[in-house]
Amino acid sequence: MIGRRIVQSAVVIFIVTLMVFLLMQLVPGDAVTNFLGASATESQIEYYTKLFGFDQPVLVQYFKWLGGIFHGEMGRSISLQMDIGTILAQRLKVTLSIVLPAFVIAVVLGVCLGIVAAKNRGTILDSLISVVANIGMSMPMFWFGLMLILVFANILGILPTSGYVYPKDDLGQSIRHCVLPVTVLALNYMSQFCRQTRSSMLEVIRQDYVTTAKAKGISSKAVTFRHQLRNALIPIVTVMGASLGAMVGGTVLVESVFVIPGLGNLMITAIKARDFMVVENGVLVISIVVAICNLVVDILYGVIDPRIRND
Amino acid sequence: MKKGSLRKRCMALALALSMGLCLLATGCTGSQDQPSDTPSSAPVSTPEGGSTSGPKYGGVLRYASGNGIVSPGYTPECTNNASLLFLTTAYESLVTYAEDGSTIGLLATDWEIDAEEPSITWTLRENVQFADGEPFNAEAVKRNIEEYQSKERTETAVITSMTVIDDTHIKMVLSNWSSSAVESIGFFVYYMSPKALEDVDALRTSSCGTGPFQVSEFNPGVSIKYTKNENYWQEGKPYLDGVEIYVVEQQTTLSSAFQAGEYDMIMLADMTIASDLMEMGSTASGTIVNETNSNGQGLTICGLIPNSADPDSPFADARVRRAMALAIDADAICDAFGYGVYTPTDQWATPEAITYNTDITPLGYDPERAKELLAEAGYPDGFDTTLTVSPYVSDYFTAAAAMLEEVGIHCELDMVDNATEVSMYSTGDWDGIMGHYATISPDLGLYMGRHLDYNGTFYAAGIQHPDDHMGLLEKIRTSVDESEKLRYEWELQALIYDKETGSALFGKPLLVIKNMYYKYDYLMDDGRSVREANIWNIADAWINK
Repeated sequence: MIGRRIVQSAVVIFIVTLMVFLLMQLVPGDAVTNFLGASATESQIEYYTKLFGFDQPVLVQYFKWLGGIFHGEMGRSISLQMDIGTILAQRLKVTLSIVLPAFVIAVVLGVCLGIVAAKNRGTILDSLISVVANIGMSMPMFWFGLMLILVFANILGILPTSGYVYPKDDLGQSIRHCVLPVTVLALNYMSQFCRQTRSSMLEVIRQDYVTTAKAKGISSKAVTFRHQLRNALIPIVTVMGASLGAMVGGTVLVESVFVIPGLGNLMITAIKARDFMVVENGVLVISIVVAICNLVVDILYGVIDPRIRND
Repeated sequence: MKKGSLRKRCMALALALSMGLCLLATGCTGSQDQPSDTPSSAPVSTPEGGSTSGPKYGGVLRYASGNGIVSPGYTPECTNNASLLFLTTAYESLVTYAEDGSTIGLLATDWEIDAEEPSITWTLRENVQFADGEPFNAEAVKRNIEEYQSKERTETAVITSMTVIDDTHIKMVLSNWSSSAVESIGFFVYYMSPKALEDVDALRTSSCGTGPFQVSEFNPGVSIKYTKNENYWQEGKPYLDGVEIYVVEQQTTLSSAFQAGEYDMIMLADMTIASDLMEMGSTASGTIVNETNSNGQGLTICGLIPNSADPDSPFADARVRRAMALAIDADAICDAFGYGVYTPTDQWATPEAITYNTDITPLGYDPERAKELLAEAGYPDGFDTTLTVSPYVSDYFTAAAAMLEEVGIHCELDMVDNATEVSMYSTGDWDGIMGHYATISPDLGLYMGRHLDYNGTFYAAGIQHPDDHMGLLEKIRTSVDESEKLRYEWELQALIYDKETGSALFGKPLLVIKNMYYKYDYLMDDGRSVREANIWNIADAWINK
């Protein structure tokens, strides 16, 4: 099954990159004019167009790029004048340093609060958790980020407004700079996980095997985690897998508000500059991350429920 | 502590507590001290250990704006105005501008013009070194000009040959005389060490000029850091230890970071946020200051330009173009959206600039006359057209479209992004009207020429090129006498912008976009935008803290 999924993912990635490549050709404006500015002469434009291979047919450019990928070369960015592989690696690391802590926090808090809400269904505590989850989901990340900056940086002055410090340069400062963006991301996804956990738990909470387990005198904790949560996990894990992929590719709002030099920010800059090669390679990286997340989710299905593995 | 302030802090604390759960999870300790990377935090000292009245040494200037940073070290590839900030930090040109807008020597101390030959002989400053210790001399100038020519830079295209006379003198023979030649060659070429030019790839991410600071760290699209050039030729300068420039595109964040004291100087693009900042007046970090120039160097005008190149378009008729201009109330638009930062104009100049013609009746606001002109041109009921604009300035253009509607010109607004806009004005491929941006430095031959020339690169493919306009442009360019040149420039302004007889080729100039650089008052003598909108006197800057 895993082998089949890998092949399927490779096909999906190929189609996505081809579509993005072709769609980017339809967008008005070109990288060379943007790079040189409107005062560029025809000969200047011709020089750089040839230098970056933009004078070749679209499909030739695409397969040339694809061939380069198999040789470990992503090409050179015209707008940034740097090797694309190097810059994507730098930016992906930054994005992951925000996304992974946010994801862990969202999973731990989301699942715990979801369980508490389900176990206390109909109580004030359940309502309170549901309200918090709804607020977390409905609050636009962009606005919430700006509010956090206003409160914690401008009024209280206890955290920096924006920017990013690499952990190797200064770990303390790095953590301080990550607090607000991680909070914004975590709250949004925590709310989704909380709602999904609550709903999945409620589906299994009245199942016969749960009643049987309770009748056997198994502790409440064991019933919750071994019988209820384990059976409720499949949809939760599905949401988590999809969310992690979406977080990597979709942190652009958070990166923009908090001025984080991550993958999302890079993609937006590249799209504005019509730097197609950066966009294409960025899409490839994000597609691979999403494919890996889906693959991990597939593997986890088998771990959580051996019947799926046997099938 | 004031009552209001205490209440504000209590409310903020309550809000903070409600958000605290996530913060606790990320291990926030919430200390009250300033971030270690707060700007200008390095201790400052006075030179020669004494006077507090003179400039102080030390500190790092932190500047942020929404503009990207590209290839700060290889200067022929820095082609737009925004690049000048990075160029003038690490590099220098032969000439620069004085505060009155006139040209003064920088790496050149003098220049001799022979308009007959035609040629320019430059006298270079002695005892100047590049950051790598290589001497700045006539051979270095020749090498750099050749590099610019190999990259097809228009500024150097006019040079046909160069003769190195000695270390401090170089003669450049030109293909034809141009009154803009000194500015074009002198200001737009930034000199790199010939040795560093041997490895252009390495130079792209570093720098090696004669300027006061050199690149120490370059993070494309994010930040660029400069440290003091120990080989700098101006004795005792620069005063600062370094300069850091950051890209912060999100304007609200940029303003918040400035208010929190994280940057010493910022450039805003959003008028509303800029207005709020100026209303605020000061923060805990200091008083907010906005400096600008009135000489017009490097300033931009924003207006509406009709496509007159299409013979089937109503805008092929000058009367329709004048009607379009007369239908729009630029003063009202400036009042509504300019927040005191944008000022109206009606020519290719600021009203204070030397090339502004005070003798003509301008294309002001006169909707009745606009209707008459439309009727004369055969459009008594008006017509439909398209108005292509960038979303960043859609407010002005939406207002302008409403005003055009009043006289019968119905505009369908077409929003395009910046890259599309660049493509449209480079190729002249726009329908109806589009937003027009132009640098209005006093020299019309150089700056208006880029828009008016047959092969001009800005909007020129979308407008007509009448013989009388082109003749005057040529006269401006070939003038040797400054007063004669100025007379021709006034004539050209009249030819285009006179209410009754103007060609209105460039449509309606709405407003002058003055600079939106904001800094704290402790930042001294930086001269940001004072001499030219896009440069600063960073060698003279110091922090008075």
